[in-house]
Amino acid sequence: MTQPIITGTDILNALLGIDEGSALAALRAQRPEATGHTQGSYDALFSGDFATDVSPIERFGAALRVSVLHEEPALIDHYTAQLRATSGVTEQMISGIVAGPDAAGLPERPRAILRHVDLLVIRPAAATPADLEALQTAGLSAAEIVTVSQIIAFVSFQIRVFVGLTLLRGDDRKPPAGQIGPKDATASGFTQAQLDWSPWLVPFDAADATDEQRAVLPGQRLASPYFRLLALDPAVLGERTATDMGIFYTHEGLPRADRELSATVTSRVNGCIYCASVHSRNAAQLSKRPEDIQRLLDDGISARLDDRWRALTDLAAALSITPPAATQAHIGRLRELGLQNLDLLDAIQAAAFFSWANRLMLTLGEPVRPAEPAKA
Amino acid sequence: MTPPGTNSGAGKPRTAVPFRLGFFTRLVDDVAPAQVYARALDLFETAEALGFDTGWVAQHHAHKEGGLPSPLVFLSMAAARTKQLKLATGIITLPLENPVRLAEDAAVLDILSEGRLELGFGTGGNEVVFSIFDHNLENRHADYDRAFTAVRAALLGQALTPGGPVLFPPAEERLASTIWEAAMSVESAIRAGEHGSGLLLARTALRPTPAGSGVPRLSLGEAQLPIVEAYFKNWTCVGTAPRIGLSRSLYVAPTRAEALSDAAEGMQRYAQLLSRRGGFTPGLSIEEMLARSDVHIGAPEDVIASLQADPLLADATDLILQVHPIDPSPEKTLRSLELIATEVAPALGWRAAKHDRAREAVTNSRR
Repeated sequence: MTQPIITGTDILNALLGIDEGSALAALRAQRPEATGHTQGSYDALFSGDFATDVSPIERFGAALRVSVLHEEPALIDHYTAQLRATSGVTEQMISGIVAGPDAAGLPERPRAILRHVDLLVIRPAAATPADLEALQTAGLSAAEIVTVSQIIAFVSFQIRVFVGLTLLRGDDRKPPAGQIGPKDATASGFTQAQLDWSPWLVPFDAADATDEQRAVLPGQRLASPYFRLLALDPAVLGERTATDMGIFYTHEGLPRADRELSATVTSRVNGCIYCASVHSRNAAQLSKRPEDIQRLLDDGISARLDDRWRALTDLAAALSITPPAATQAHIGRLRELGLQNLDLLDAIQAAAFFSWANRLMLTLGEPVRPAEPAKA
Repeated sequence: MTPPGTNSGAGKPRTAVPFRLGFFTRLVDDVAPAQVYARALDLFETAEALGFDTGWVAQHHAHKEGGLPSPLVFLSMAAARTKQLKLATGIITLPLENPVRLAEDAAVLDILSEGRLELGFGTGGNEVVFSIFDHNLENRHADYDRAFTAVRAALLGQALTPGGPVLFPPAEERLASTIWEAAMSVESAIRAGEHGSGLLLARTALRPTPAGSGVPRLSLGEAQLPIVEAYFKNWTCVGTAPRIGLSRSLYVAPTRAEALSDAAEGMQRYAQLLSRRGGFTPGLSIEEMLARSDVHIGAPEDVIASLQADPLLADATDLILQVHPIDPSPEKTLRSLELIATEVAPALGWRAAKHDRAREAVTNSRR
C-alpha cells in the first residue's frame, strides 16, 4: 500500500482557509487515509515526476476548465494561479481554456482535451469509443488519455469534497441557478447482478506489467482490465485506490451500508450502470435491504425510502449534479436524524468519490453481461 | 461484570446496523458423540426456526475438548435437516487438508445444500495435530498459503494441473467469493484483505498487561481494532465489499442472577482447563473470570448493552455468538439462542431474514 505523500500543504485545507488546529482539519484528520491520499492524488496528478507526457499546462488547463464548469470560485482561482505559474502560459491561453473547446485559436490537442473535459463533466454517460479515438487522433496515447481522464474525474471529486467541507464549516451555500449536468444519463437498465466491464482502450497483458504497475495492482486487481488500464498511470492509480479505501473501508463513522448507498446514488444519478451494480450489491448485502436498493435502481432518486436513506440519498444526489447543489438543508436534515460530523464527512466523501469513479468507468469502457462460466 | 469497552461510544446514539446473525457451536460434551451430534443438529434446526442466518462449526483433530474433526460431513447432515440456514466452517485447518479433495467435498456439499455453504479457513496451531498429519507447525503459513491458492483456484474452475481438467462437480462462483479467513494478527488480516476473503475475528484475544502497570486492559474490540484496520486497508478485491465476522461469547438468561449461576460450573471447568496452560490468576471470582474471558453475560438488557459497547459491532457484517466457555445445558443453550433471536439481536438492528421456511419450521417444531 502506498503511503500518503507528505508535502506539508493540504490543498483542500488551504482552499478552505483552515489550519491544522481548526475543528474541520481535526475532523479530516479522523480519516487520515482519505485525507492524505486525496492530497496524494493531487500531487500525483499535478506535481512530481509524471508517468505520462501530458504537460503541466494541459494538466492545470483541464483542471481549470473542470472548475469553471462547476462554477466554484475557490477552485477556479487555485487552478488559474497554478496555470499562470506554469512556464510557457499566456493570458490568451488562460482565457481560451476558461472559454472552453469552442474558443477561437486553440490548437487541436488542447481543444480535444477541453472537449473531453466538457464531455466527462457534463455528459459522462454519453461517451463512446469515438470520443477516445478523437483524443488519439489529436495525438494522445492511451496512457495520456488515462491521465487526462483521471485529472477531470479527480477534480470533479475534489470540488465536491470542497463543497461538502464548506457545508460542514457552516457556510450558507445557495443552490446554483441552473444545472448543466449530468446530461444523457440513462435511467434504466440498472441491476444488482454481477456485470463485467469491457475497456475501449487495450490494457496491457497482466504478464507484461512492470514492477511499478504490479505494486498498484495487488490481489485481484491485476486480473481486472479496468485497473490494468488505469495502471498506465500507476502512481495516480495507487493514490486513487488508497483514497477509495480510505473513504469506504474505515472503522466507525457512517455505517458502511450507508456509504455504499451514497456510492449507489451518485452512480444512479450519473447513469453508471457498472458502478451502480457493484455498490448496490454491496449496499443491499450490508444493509440486508435489497428491495429498497432495487427500488432506488428502478425508480431513481425519488424512490420511496425511509427518512435516513431519503436524507442520505438527497445529499448524495445534490452533490452529484453539476454544479453541486448541496446546501445546509441537506446537512441539517441528516443532523436531525442523529448523524455526527464524522458520519457527514463519510457521506460527503463517499458520494463525492463516485463523481470520480463514475467518470472513469463511463468513459473508458462499458459494462457487459458476464459470459457463462465454462462448466466442465 | 463490567462489559468490555463500556466507555466507548457512550452518549452517541448508535445507528442500528443490520448484520447476519450466526451461532457457533462446539461439539463437546460428556456424553457419547452420537448424542453430541444429535444435540448439535437440534440446535441447527432450532436456530433456523428462530431466524438465525448462519450456523458455524469448527474442526478439531484428535482433541476431545474440540470435538468435531469432520465439519463438512456434519454440515451435510445439518443441510438435510435445514432449508435456508447458511452453513459455515469456522474454521477448517487448511494446512492439513489436501486442497483439491477439500474443494471436491465443498462443491458436493454446496450442491446438496442448494448453495448454503460458506468456507472459513485458518492456519491452526497445535503441534501434536500437525505431527499427526505429518506436517511441520513451523511451515504452517507457507502450507496455508499454498493450500489457499489451490483450493480457491479449484473452486473458481481453474485447471487442476496445467492444461488439465477442472473441478468436478464445478463450484458456483459464490463459494470462492464467500470464503472467510480467521485473523488473530495484523499479518493474517492483511492476507485476508488481499485475498478478498471475509475476516473472522476470534471470540477472545490475548492481551497481556504488565502486572501493576496501571494500564487498563484493552477491551476485546479495542484489541482487535488494528486487525480490522489492517484488513480494510489491504482490501483489494474488485466488485465486492469486505466482510467482518465478529465472534463473541454470549450467554443470556431471563435474569442476570440466573445467568451467573448457570455460568459458575462452566467457568470452573474452563478455569481448570486454562490452568493447565497457565491461564487465570488463582482466586478470581466467577465474574472476574467471565470478564477476563470476554464473555457477554446476563439478562437481555445486560448483553445488549455490552455488545453495543463493543467498538467493532458497527463493522460486523456477521455476528457469530457462542455459549462457550460457559457451555450450559442443552436446554439452557437453546433458551439463550431464543433470547438472542427474539430480544438481543433485534435491539442491535438485526432483522430476521424473510424465511418462509423458517416460519414453517417453527410451526413444525411446535407440532
